[in-house]
Amino acid sequence: MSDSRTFSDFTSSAEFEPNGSLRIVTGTEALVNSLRMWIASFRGELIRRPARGGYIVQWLMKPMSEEVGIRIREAIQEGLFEDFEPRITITKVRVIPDYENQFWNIELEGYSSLLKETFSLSEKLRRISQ
Amino acid sequence: MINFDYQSILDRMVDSLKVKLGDTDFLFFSTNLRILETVAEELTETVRYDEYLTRESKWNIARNISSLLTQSEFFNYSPHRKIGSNGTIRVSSDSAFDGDYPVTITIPKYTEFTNGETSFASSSQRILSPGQNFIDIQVVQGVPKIQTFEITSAQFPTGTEYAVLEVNNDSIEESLYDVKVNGQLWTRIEHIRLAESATSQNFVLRNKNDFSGIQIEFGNDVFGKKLEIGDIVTLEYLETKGENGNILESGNVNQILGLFTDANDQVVTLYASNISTIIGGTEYEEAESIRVNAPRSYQTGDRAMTRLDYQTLIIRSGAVDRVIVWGETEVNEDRGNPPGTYLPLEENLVYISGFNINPITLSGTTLTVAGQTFLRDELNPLKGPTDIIRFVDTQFIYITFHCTIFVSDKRYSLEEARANVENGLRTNYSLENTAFRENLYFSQYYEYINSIEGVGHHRTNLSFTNLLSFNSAYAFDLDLALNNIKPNSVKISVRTQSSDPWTLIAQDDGNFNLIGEQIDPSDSGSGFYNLPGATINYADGFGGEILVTFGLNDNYTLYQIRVDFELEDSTEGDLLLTQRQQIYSYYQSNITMIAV
Repeated sequence: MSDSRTFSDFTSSAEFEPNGSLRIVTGTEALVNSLRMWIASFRGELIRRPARGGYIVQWLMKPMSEEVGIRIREAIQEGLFEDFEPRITITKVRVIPDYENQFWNIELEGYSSLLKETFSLSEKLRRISQ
Repeated sequence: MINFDYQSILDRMVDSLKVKLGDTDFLFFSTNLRILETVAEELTETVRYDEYLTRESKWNIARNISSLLTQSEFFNYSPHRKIGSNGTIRVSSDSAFDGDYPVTITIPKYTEFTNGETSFASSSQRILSPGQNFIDIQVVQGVPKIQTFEITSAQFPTGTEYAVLEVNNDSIEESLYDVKVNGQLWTRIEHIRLAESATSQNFVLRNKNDFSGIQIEFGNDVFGKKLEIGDIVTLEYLETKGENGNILESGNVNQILGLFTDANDQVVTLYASNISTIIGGTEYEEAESIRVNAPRSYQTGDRAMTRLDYQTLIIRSGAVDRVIVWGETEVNEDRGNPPGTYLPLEENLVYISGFNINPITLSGTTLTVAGQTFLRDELNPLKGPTDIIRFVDTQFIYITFHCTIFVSDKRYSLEEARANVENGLRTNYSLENTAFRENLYFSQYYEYINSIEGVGHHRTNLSFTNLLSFNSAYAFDLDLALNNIKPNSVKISVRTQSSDPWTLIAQDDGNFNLIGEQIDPSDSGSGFYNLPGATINYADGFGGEILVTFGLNDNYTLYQIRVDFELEDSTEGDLLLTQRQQIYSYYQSNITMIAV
């Protein structure tokens, strides 16, 4: 069995295959799917693990600014180090504000020693207006 | 063993899904794990709820009273609601209760009496006839209430077969209520299918399974008469205070509410006063009590056949706190006869002796005449037709412990040790912890006192007290019913108020005679209490009827009588009871503390 088969997951958006079964992602695709879920997680939403996740969402509630963008980047770096499993090495994090549409563009690159592969993730996070 | 906690369920599902997905690992933040966690959590809750339901369906471990109430039906047991205290109120047309009225006066059922705070209702209609200075009326604590239902087709769109009416009130008194349909009194039965015929006017009254009210069920014209559209159903009941409605002093309830007329329709003023305590009020039956009583009740089969059946059914009725029942077998045993000896005068007699415990003073109160009538009514449908019930007053033998306590352990102060002894004796020898005809042996109480914290060693003697009352004007029956009364130890005292000191009126002369004391010890001219011919038999404690002909002036019903005595064996001796209706109890203690 190759390393790319180490992880498998259903996609977080619950996509279906043409034959009607749920699409299963594997390897770095599964890892990126997991990172996407981690970034979008709220503190307390994980069953019986109230202290896990929720590093980014608190900043999405703030008015968008350069300062908040820095905080989000720090939260991603520190949070992934403290909270994410399995261990990954983050090589690049970019948090780009889209003030007009009230989005944060998150771009993330890294390396998984477990999978022995690099990965990248690009995700748009909408600012949460209160 | 398969575990059904959250982690075990989750681990099993993860393992199963991993195999299905080609033996791959799951990431901690992953969709599939998130789904499995949610399912595992829900399954855990399901298992927990299932466990809860299973537990609540088991008689021995159910915690909710609603579970026990539901299951009680299988034991044919109906746990009691709040029970109103009961007792007797004397009613007269004369304020001194010493004069009659020339015309008959009817006092209806549910007539209300009050002391301003707590209400009572008469349990039956009574007549005060010419020539009677007063009548004693049985009352139950509670405010009389009436709830009326009109049976409509809107209420019962599918018909009135087995119609059920609900009354939401958590204070409906257990024993006194009436259900009338169109003004006619209907009869309660245990189950609607026990109705004798299709036209029987029967109903079933049961508690809601959280004691929040009651349900009244009617028949279907096959098992009992059914209700018809347009019928008016009336429930008369008492809203009771339960254990908070006990009255511990006589003369406390002295208002009678309502307008009373004699047979000539002339308005009459009536006076009322409770002649004794009105106690026995309790809250609804607690879970642990139901758990114990229901199987016992099931064992009786709701029939009074054995001694235990009688005792269980009597306790279940709530009329007394403690009871003893005996019959021919025990009488033969007491008389030393061979088992089965034919006793013509004892055939079919069932002796019952029961009492209530005053929750404040912890003293015993014998069953009143009204209480006896209530119990007869309860037992009559359940007992054998040839059983003859005979009530016997419980004889309470109150003990005074005279203790000299030696305290050698310096960890205990004398006051601390004294409190331990006093509390220990009061609790260990209270009426709740002693049994009918149970002897008290020196070795037992000596050992018990020795075991109390702080006691090094002790010397303890006993003296005894009987509390009596006059049967009629200054006459009472004296029968200590104990062997070997110590000469020169019998003292008779009286008082009219619980707060008054006792006044010694007579004592024995060591030669079987009871001699009256000087009325005022400081005034030789005040005369002596006169008890002509009064004697006491030291061998068996029998004194017969004692009549005080001089020295007492208050109404005889107000007097309490106290007879103090010792036994020849009182010094480090045993208390040997001679009759089944006897029971001993702590009365007081005289404790001398000595540090050694």
